[in-house]
Amino acid sequence: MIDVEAALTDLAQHVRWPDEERPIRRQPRWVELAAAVLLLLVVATIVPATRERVTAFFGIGGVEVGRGVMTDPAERSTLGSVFTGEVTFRLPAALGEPTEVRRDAEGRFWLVYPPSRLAPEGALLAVFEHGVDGGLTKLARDPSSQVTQVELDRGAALWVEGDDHFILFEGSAGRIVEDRGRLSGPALIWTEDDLTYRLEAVVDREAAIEIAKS
Amino acid sequence: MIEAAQAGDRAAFDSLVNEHRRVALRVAWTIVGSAAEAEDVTQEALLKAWRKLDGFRFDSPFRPWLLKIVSNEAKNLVRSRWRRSNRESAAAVPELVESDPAADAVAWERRRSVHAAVESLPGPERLAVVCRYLLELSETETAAVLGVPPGTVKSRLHRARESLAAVLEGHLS
Repeated sequence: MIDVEAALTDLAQHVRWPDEERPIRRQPRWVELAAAVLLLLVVATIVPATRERVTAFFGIGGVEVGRGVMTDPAERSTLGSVFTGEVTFRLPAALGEPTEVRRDAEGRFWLVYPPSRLAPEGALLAVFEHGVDGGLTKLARDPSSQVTQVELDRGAALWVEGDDHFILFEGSAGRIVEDRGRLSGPALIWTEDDLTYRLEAVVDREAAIEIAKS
Repeated sequence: MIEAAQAGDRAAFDSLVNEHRRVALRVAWTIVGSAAEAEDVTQEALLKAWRKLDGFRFDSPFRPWLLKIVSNEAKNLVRSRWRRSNRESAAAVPELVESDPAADAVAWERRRSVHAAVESLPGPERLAVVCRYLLELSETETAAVLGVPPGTVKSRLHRARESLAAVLEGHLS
Protein backbone atom coordinates (compact mmCIF):
# COMPACT_ATOMS: atom_id res chain seq x y z
CA MET A 1 0.00 0.00 0.00
CA ILE A 2 1.59 3.22 -1.12
CA ASP A 3 1.85 6.10 1.34
CA VAL A 4 0.38 8.89 -0.78
CA GLU A 5 1.03 11.63 1.75
CA ALA A 6 4.69 10.68 2.01
CA ALA A 7 4.94 10.55 -1.79
CA LEU A 8 3.46 14.04 -2.08
CA THR A 9 5.70 15.40 0.64
CA ASP A 10 8.67 13.99 -1.24
CA LEU A 11 7.41 15.47 -4.50
CA ALA A 12 7.18 18.91 -2.89
CA GLN A 13 10.93 18.83 -2.37
CA HIS A 14 11.57 18.06 -6.03
CA VAL A 15 9.52 20.55 -7.97
CA ARG A 16 10.60 23.85 -9.43
CA TRP A 17 8.34 26.88 -9.26
CA PRO A 18 8.42 29.52 -11.99
CA ASP A 19 9.93 32.10 -9.63
CA GLU A 20 12.89 29.77 -9.16
CA GLU A 21 13.56 29.66 -12.88
CA ARG A 22 14.02 33.34 -13.44
CA PRO A 23 14.24 36.36 -11.25
CA ILE A 24 10.95 37.93 -10.32
CA ARG A 25 10.53 41.06 -12.39
CA ARG A 26 11.73 43.96 -10.37
CA GLN A 27 8.81 45.91 -9.17
CA PRO A 28 9.26 49.09 -7.27
CA ARG A 29 8.21 48.33 -3.74
CA TRP A 30 4.55 48.79 -4.15
CA VAL A 31 4.01 50.51 -0.91
CA GLU A 32 6.54 53.08 -1.92
CA LEU A 33 4.61 53.49 -5.09
CA ALA A 34 1.43 53.95 -3.17
CA ALA A 35 3.11 56.40 -0.94
CA ALA A 36 4.62 58.29 -3.68
CA VAL A 37 1.65 59.61 -5.15
CA LEU A 38 -1.04 58.33 -6.84
CA LEU A 39 -1.91 54.92 -7.60
CA LEU A 40 -4.18 55.03 -10.44
CA LEU A 41 -6.27 51.97 -10.37
CA VAL A 42 -8.06 52.00 -13.57
CA VAL A 43 -10.58 49.36 -13.25
CA ALA A 44 -11.30 47.34 -16.28
CA THR A 45 -10.47 44.06 -17.75
CA ILE A 46 -7.68 45.44 -19.77
CA VAL A 47 -6.12 43.40 -22.47
CA PRO A 48 -2.41 42.91 -21.81
CA ALA A 49 -1.32 45.38 -24.44
CA THR A 50 -3.43 48.09 -22.93
CA ARG A 51 -2.29 47.16 -19.47
CA GLU A 52 1.31 47.52 -20.58
CA ARG A 53 0.59 50.95 -21.94
CA VAL A 54 -1.14 51.97 -18.74
CA THR A 55 1.73 50.61 -16.75
CA ALA A 56 4.29 52.38 -18.84
CA PHE A 57 2.42 55.59 -18.67
CA PHE A 58 2.46 55.60 -14.94
CA GLY A 59 6.08 54.74 -14.62
CA ILE A 60 5.93 51.19 -13.36
CA GLY A 61 9.15 49.31 -13.66
CA GLY A 62 11.26 52.40 -13.67
CA VAL A 63 9.89 53.71 -16.93
CA GLU A 64 9.63 57.45 -16.82
CA VAL A 65 7.05 58.67 -19.24
CA GLY A 66 4.01 60.76 -19.41
CA ARG A 67 5.06 63.60 -17.22
CA GLY A 68 4.01 66.97 -18.45
CA VAL A 69 6.48 69.59 -19.44
CA MET A 70 6.46 72.58 -17.19
CA THR A 71 4.61 75.44 -18.73
CA ASP A 72 5.77 78.98 -18.57
CA PRO A 73 4.99 80.12 -15.04
CA ALA A 74 3.34 83.17 -16.52
CA GLU A 75 0.74 80.94 -18.09
CA ARG A 76 -0.20 79.32 -14.83
CA SER A 77 -2.98 80.26 -12.57
CA THR A 78 -2.22 80.12 -8.94
CA LEU A 79 -4.93 78.75 -6.76
CA GLY A 80 -2.58 78.02 -3.97
CA SER A 81 -3.05 81.49 -2.62
CA VAL A 82 -6.72 80.75 -2.23
CA PHE A 83 -5.90 77.91 0.10
CA THR A 84 -2.45 77.61 1.48
CA GLY A 85 -0.15 79.38 -0.88
CA GLU A 86 1.63 76.08 -1.46
CA VAL A 87 0.30 74.66 -4.67
CA THR A 88 0.39 76.11 -8.10
CA PHE A 89 -1.23 74.40 -11.02
CA ARG A 90 -2.37 75.03 -14.50
CA LEU A 91 -6.04 75.42 -15.21
CA PRO A 92 -7.52 74.39 -18.55
CA ALA A 93 -8.28 77.69 -20.22
CA ALA A 94 -11.12 76.25 -22.28
CA LEU A 95 -13.25 75.79 -19.19
CA GLY A 96 -13.07 79.41 -18.15
CA GLU A 97 -13.15 80.34 -14.51
CA PRO A 98 -14.38 77.80 -11.97
CA THR A 99 -17.49 78.75 -10.04
CA GLU A 100 -16.38 76.85 -7.01
CA VAL A 101 -13.01 75.77 -5.69
CA ARG A 102 -12.43 73.67 -2.63
CA ARG A 103 -9.60 71.91 -1.00
CA ASP A 104 -10.63 69.06 1.24
CA ALA A 105 -8.96 67.70 4.34
CA GLU A 106 -6.94 65.20 2.31
CA GLY A 107 -5.47 67.86 0.08
CA ARG A 108 -7.65 67.31 -2.97
CA PHE A 109 -8.65 70.30 -5.02
CA TRP A 110 -12.11 70.33 -6.50
CA LEU A 111 -12.98 72.79 -9.22
CA VAL A 112 -16.53 73.11 -10.51
CA TYR A 113 -17.00 74.67 -13.92
CA PRO A 114 -20.16 76.08 -15.48
CA PRO A 115 -21.43 74.87 -18.87
CA SER A 116 -19.29 75.94 -21.79
CA ARG A 117 -18.83 75.08 -25.46
CA LEU A 118 -16.71 72.00 -24.80
CA ALA A 119 -18.46 71.09 -21.57
CA PRO A 120 -22.17 71.67 -22.19
CA GLU A 121 -23.11 70.12 -18.85
CA GLY A 122 -20.34 71.84 -16.96
CA ALA A 123 -17.28 70.01 -15.65
CA LEU A 124 -15.67 68.81 -12.47
CA LEU A 125 -11.91 68.85 -12.25
CA ALA A 126 -10.11 67.10 -9.41
CA VAL A 127 -6.44 67.81 -8.81
CA PHE A 128 -4.25 65.64 -6.63
CA GLU A 129 -0.84 66.56 -5.46
CA HIS A 130 1.87 63.94 -5.96
CA GLY A 131 4.83 62.95 -4.01
CA VAL A 132 8.22 63.05 -5.62
CA ASP A 133 8.42 59.78 -7.49
CA GLY A 134 5.50 60.05 -9.78
CA GLY A 135 2.50 57.92 -10.04
CA LEU A 136 1.87 54.49 -11.04
CA THR A 137 -0.42 51.77 -11.76
CA LYS A 138 -3.03 49.86 -12.63
CA LEU A 139 -5.92 48.06 -13.55
CA ALA A 140 -8.66 45.71 -13.96
CA ARG A 141 -11.92 44.53 -12.73
CA ASP A 142 -15.04 45.61 -14.41
CA PRO A 143 -15.22 44.10 -17.89
CA SER A 144 -17.52 46.87 -19.03
CA SER A 145 -14.89 49.52 -18.39
CA GLN A 146 -12.41 50.51 -21.03
CA VAL A 147 -9.20 52.44 -20.84
CA THR A 148 -7.61 54.14 -23.79
CA GLN A 149 -4.37 56.03 -23.87
CA VAL A 150 -4.61 59.38 -25.59
CA GLU A 151 -1.98 61.95 -26.33
CA LEU A 152 -1.85 65.45 -24.99
CA ASP A 153 0.68 68.11 -25.91
CA ARG A 154 2.33 67.69 -22.55
CA GLY A 155 2.31 63.93 -22.50
CA ALA A 156 -0.08 61.01 -22.36
CA ALA A 157 -3.44 60.72 -20.69
CA LEU A 158 -5.95 57.99 -19.98
CA TRP A 159 -9.52 58.09 -21.15
CA VAL A 160 -11.55 55.89 -18.82
CA GLU A 161 -15.01 54.82 -19.85
CA GLY A 162 -17.16 53.15 -17.23
CA ASP A 163 -17.85 54.01 -13.66
CA ASP A 164 -15.51 51.78 -11.81
CA HIS A 165 -12.20 53.50 -11.50
CA PHE A 166 -10.52 55.10 -8.60
CA ILE A 167 -7.37 56.87 -7.66
CA LEU A 168 -5.27 56.30 -4.61
CA PHE A 169 -3.18 59.18 -3.48
CA GLU A 170 -1.23 60.20 -0.47
CA GLY A 171 -3.45 62.32 1.66
CA SER A 172 -2.84 64.14 4.86
CA ALA A 173 -0.62 62.45 7.44
CA GLY A 174 0.75 60.17 4.76
CA ARG A 175 -2.32 57.98 4.59
CA ILE A 176 -3.26 56.46 1.31
CA VAL A 177 -6.67 57.72 0.37
CA GLU A 178 -8.96 56.17 -2.15
CA ASP A 179 -10.88 58.48 -4.36
CA ARG A 180 -13.51 57.34 -6.77
CA GLY A 181 -14.87 59.41 -9.57
CA ARG A 182 -17.71 61.59 -8.38
CA LEU A 183 -19.81 61.30 -11.48
CA SER A 184 -20.88 58.42 -13.64
CA GLY A 185 -19.54 58.46 -17.13
CA PRO A 186 -16.07 58.77 -18.57
CA ALA A 187 -13.12 60.62 -17.14
CA LEU A 188 -9.87 61.92 -18.59
CA ILE A 189 -6.86 61.50 -16.31
CA TRP A 190 -3.47 63.01 -16.88
CA THR A 191 -0.40 64.13 -15.01
CA GLU A 192 1.53 67.35 -15.14
CA ASP A 193 4.48 68.13 -13.02
CA ASP A 194 3.69 66.63 -9.65
CA LEU A 195 -0.04 66.81 -10.04
CA THR A 196 -2.66 64.47 -11.40
CA TYR A 197 -5.81 65.83 -12.97
CA ARG A 198 -9.11 64.07 -13.43
CA LEU A 199 -11.73 65.69 -15.59
CA GLU A 200 -15.30 64.47 -15.22
CA ALA A 201 -18.67 65.28 -16.77
CA VAL A 202 -17.29 65.81 -20.26
CA VAL A 203 -18.63 62.82 -22.13
CA ASP A 204 -17.06 63.58 -25.48
CA ARG A 205 -13.49 62.31 -25.62
CA GLU A 206 -12.21 64.81 -28.16
CA ALA A 207 -13.73 67.66 -26.18
CA ALA A 208 -12.07 66.38 -23.02
CA ILE A 209 -8.73 66.21 -24.80
CA GLU A 210 -9.13 69.71 -26.15
CA ILE A 211 -9.90 70.94 -22.65
CA ALA A 212 -6.86 69.21 -21.21
CA LYS A 213 -4.65 70.71 -23.90
CA SER A 214 -5.99 74.21 -23.42
CA MET B 1 2.94 45.01 12.49
CA ILE B 2 -0.56 44.63 11.11
CA GLU B 3 -1.81 47.23 13.51
CA ALA B 4 0.94 49.59 12.40
CA ALA B 5 0.07 48.95 8.77
CA GLN B 6 -3.60 49.62 9.47
CA ALA B 7 -2.59 52.90 11.02
CA GLY B 8 -1.02 53.85 7.72
CA ASP B 9 2.57 52.75 8.35
CA ARG B 10 3.68 51.83 4.86
CA ALA B 11 6.97 50.31 5.94
CA ALA B 12 5.10 47.94 8.23
CA PHE B 13 2.83 46.84 5.43
CA ASP B 14 5.78 46.47 3.12
CA SER B 15 7.44 44.11 5.58
CA LEU B 16 4.24 42.22 6.12
CA VAL B 17 3.70 41.72 2.43
CA ASN B 18 7.29 40.80 1.67
CA GLU B 19 6.98 37.87 4.07
CA HIS B 20 4.22 36.41 1.96
CA ARG B 21 5.01 37.67 -1.51
CA ARG B 22 6.54 34.44 -2.75
CA VAL B 23 3.73 32.17 -1.63
CA ALA B 24 1.22 34.67 -3.00
CA LEU B 25 2.98 34.57 -6.35
CA ARG B 26 2.93 30.78 -6.38
CA VAL B 27 -0.74 30.60 -5.48
CA ALA B 28 -1.49 33.01 -8.31
CA TRP B 29 0.61 30.99 -10.73
CA THR B 30 -1.10 27.76 -9.73
CA ILE B 31 -4.46 29.25 -10.61
CA VAL B 32 -3.61 31.23 -13.75
CA GLY B 33 -0.80 29.03 -15.09
CA SER B 34 1.30 31.90 -16.39
CA ALA B 35 4.25 33.48 -14.63
CA ALA B 36 3.71 36.93 -16.14
CA GLU B 37 0.01 36.94 -15.32
CA ALA B 38 0.74 35.64 -11.85
CA GLU B 39 2.97 38.64 -11.24
CA ASP B 40 0.26 41.01 -12.41
CA VAL B 41 -2.36 39.26 -10.33
CA THR B 42 -0.15 39.30 -7.26
CA GLN B 43 0.64 42.95 -7.53
CA GLU B 44 -2.98 43.80 -7.99
CA ALA B 45 -3.95 41.64 -5.03
CA LEU B 46 -1.39 43.40 -2.85
CA LEU B 47 -2.81 46.73 -3.82
CA LYS B 48 -6.25 45.48 -2.99
CA ALA B 49 -5.02 44.13 0.33
CA TRP B 50 -3.73 47.57 1.18
CA ARG B 51 -7.08 49.08 0.38
CA LYS B 52 -8.93 46.49 2.42
CA LEU B 53 -6.57 46.49 5.35
CA ASP B 54 -8.89 48.57 7.48
CA GLY B 55 -11.38 45.73 7.35
CA PHE B 56 -8.91 43.07 8.46
CA ARG B 57 -9.78 41.53 11.82
CA PHE B 58 -7.03 40.96 14.34
CA ASP B 59 -8.55 37.73 15.57
CA SER B 60 -7.84 35.99 12.28
CA PRO B 61 -4.47 35.17 10.73
CA PHE B 62 -3.13 37.46 8.05
CA ARG B 63 -1.80 34.96 5.51
CA PRO B 64 -5.10 33.18 4.70
CA TRP B 65 -6.73 36.58 4.36
CA LEU B 66 -4.07 37.71 1.92
CA LEU B 67 -4.08 34.45 -0.04
CA LYS B 68 -7.83 34.64 -0.41
CA ILE B 69 -7.47 38.05 -2.04
CA VAL B 70 -4.76 36.69 -4.32
CA SER B 71 -6.80 33.66 -5.32
CA ASN B 72 -9.87 35.80 -5.98
CA GLU B 73 -7.88 38.03 -8.28
CA ALA B 74 -6.45 35.00 -10.04
CA LYS B 75 -9.87 33.40 -10.43
CA ASN B 76 -11.27 36.62 -11.84
CA LEU B 77 -8.59 36.49 -14.49
CA VAL B 78 -9.36 32.86 -15.26
CA ARG B 79 -13.06 33.66 -15.49
CA SER B 80 -12.40 36.44 -17.96
CA ARG B 81 -10.39 33.95 -19.95
CA TRP B 82 -13.33 31.58 -19.99
CA ARG B 83 -15.47 34.26 -21.44
CA ARG B 84 -12.98 34.73 -24.19
CA SER B 85 -11.89 31.21 -25.02
CA ASN B 86 -13.54 28.58 -22.82
CA ARG B 87 -10.14 27.51 -21.56
CA GLU B 88 -10.10 25.45 -18.42
CA SER B 89 -8.62 26.83 -15.24
CA ALA B 90 -4.96 25.97 -15.17
CA ALA B 91 -4.59 24.50 -11.66
CA ALA B 92 -0.98 24.25 -12.70
CA VAL B 93 1.49 21.80 -11.22
CA PRO B 94 5.12 22.93 -10.93
CA GLU B 95 7.47 20.91 -13.03
CA LEU B 96 9.52 18.10 -11.65
CA VAL B 97 13.17 18.91 -11.13
CA GLU B 98 15.27 16.78 -13.39
CA SER B 99 17.80 14.63 -11.65
CA ASP B 100 20.09 11.83 -12.55
CA PRO B 101 17.89 8.74 -12.76
CA ALA B 102 20.93 6.56 -12.34
CA ALA B 103 21.57 8.01 -8.90
CA ASP B 104 18.33 6.68 -7.51
CA ALA B 105 16.34 5.16 -10.31
CA VAL B 106 13.56 3.85 -8.12
CA ALA B 107 12.97 7.15 -6.34
CA TRP B 108 13.11 9.03 -9.62
CA GLU B 109 10.61 6.76 -11.31
CA ARG B 110 8.31 6.90 -8.34
CA ARG B 111 8.47 10.68 -8.23
CA ARG B 112 7.76 10.92 -11.93
CA SER B 113 4.69 8.74 -11.51
CA VAL B 114 3.44 10.78 -8.58
CA HIS B 115 3.91 13.99 -10.54
CA ALA B 116 2.04 12.60 -13.54
CA ALA B 117 -0.74 11.31 -11.30
CA VAL B 118 -1.16 14.71 -9.68
CA GLU B 119 -1.34 16.32 -13.11
CA SER B 120 -4.08 13.88 -14.10
CA LEU B 121 -6.36 14.79 -11.18
CA PRO B 122 -9.52 16.79 -11.89
CA GLY B 123 -8.94 20.54 -11.55
CA PRO B 124 -10.47 21.16 -8.09
CA GLU B 125 -8.70 18.19 -6.53
CA ARG B 126 -5.46 19.06 -8.28
CA LEU B 127 -5.63 22.60 -6.92
CA ALA B 128 -6.26 21.28 -3.42
CA VAL B 129 -3.29 18.91 -3.63
CA VAL B 130 -0.94 21.55 -5.01
CA CYS B 131 -1.93 24.01 -2.29
CA ARG B 132 -1.86 21.56 0.59
CA TYR B 133 1.14 19.43 -0.30
CA LEU B 134 3.30 21.24 -2.83
CA LEU B 135 2.81 24.76 -1.50
CA GLU B 136 2.57 23.35 2.00
CA LEU B 137 -0.34 25.58 2.96
CA SER B 138 -2.38 24.80 6.02
CA GLU B 139 -5.92 23.51 5.60
CA THR B 140 -7.24 26.93 6.56
CA GLU B 141 -5.04 28.58 3.94
CA THR B 142 -5.99 25.99 1.35
CA ALA B 143 -9.66 26.61 2.10
CA ALA B 144 -9.10 30.34 1.66
CA VAL B 145 -7.43 29.81 -1.69
CA LEU B 146 -10.08 27.40 -2.91
CA GLY B 147 -12.87 29.56 -1.56
CA VAL B 148 -14.54 26.60 0.14
CA PRO B 149 -15.05 25.51 3.76
CA PRO B 150 -12.27 23.49 5.41
CA GLY B 151 -14.52 20.43 5.36
CA THR B 152 -14.67 20.59 1.58
CA VAL B 153 -10.89 20.79 1.46
CA LYS B 154 -10.70 17.64 3.57
CA SER B 155 -13.09 15.77 1.30
CA ARG B 156 -11.33 16.91 -1.87
CA LEU B 157 -7.98 15.88 -0.48
CA HIS B 158 -9.41 12.55 0.60
CA ARG B 159 -10.76 11.89 -2.88
CA ALA B 160 -7.51 13.03 -4.42
CA ARG B 161 -5.44 10.72 -2.23
CA GLU B 162 -7.70 7.80 -3.10
CA SER B 163 -7.38 8.54 -6.80
CA LEU B 164 -3.63 8.92 -6.51
CA ALA B 165 -3.32 5.72 -4.54
CA ALA B 166 -5.29 3.82 -7.17
CA VAL B 167 -3.20 5.18 -10.03
CA LEU B 168 0.09 4.73 -8.23
CA GLU B 169 -0.68 1.19 -7.09
CA GLY B 170 -1.14 0.29 -10.74
CA HIS B 171 2.05 2.06 -11.81
CA LEU B 172 4.36 1.15 -9.04
CA SER B 173 3.25 -2.29 -7.97
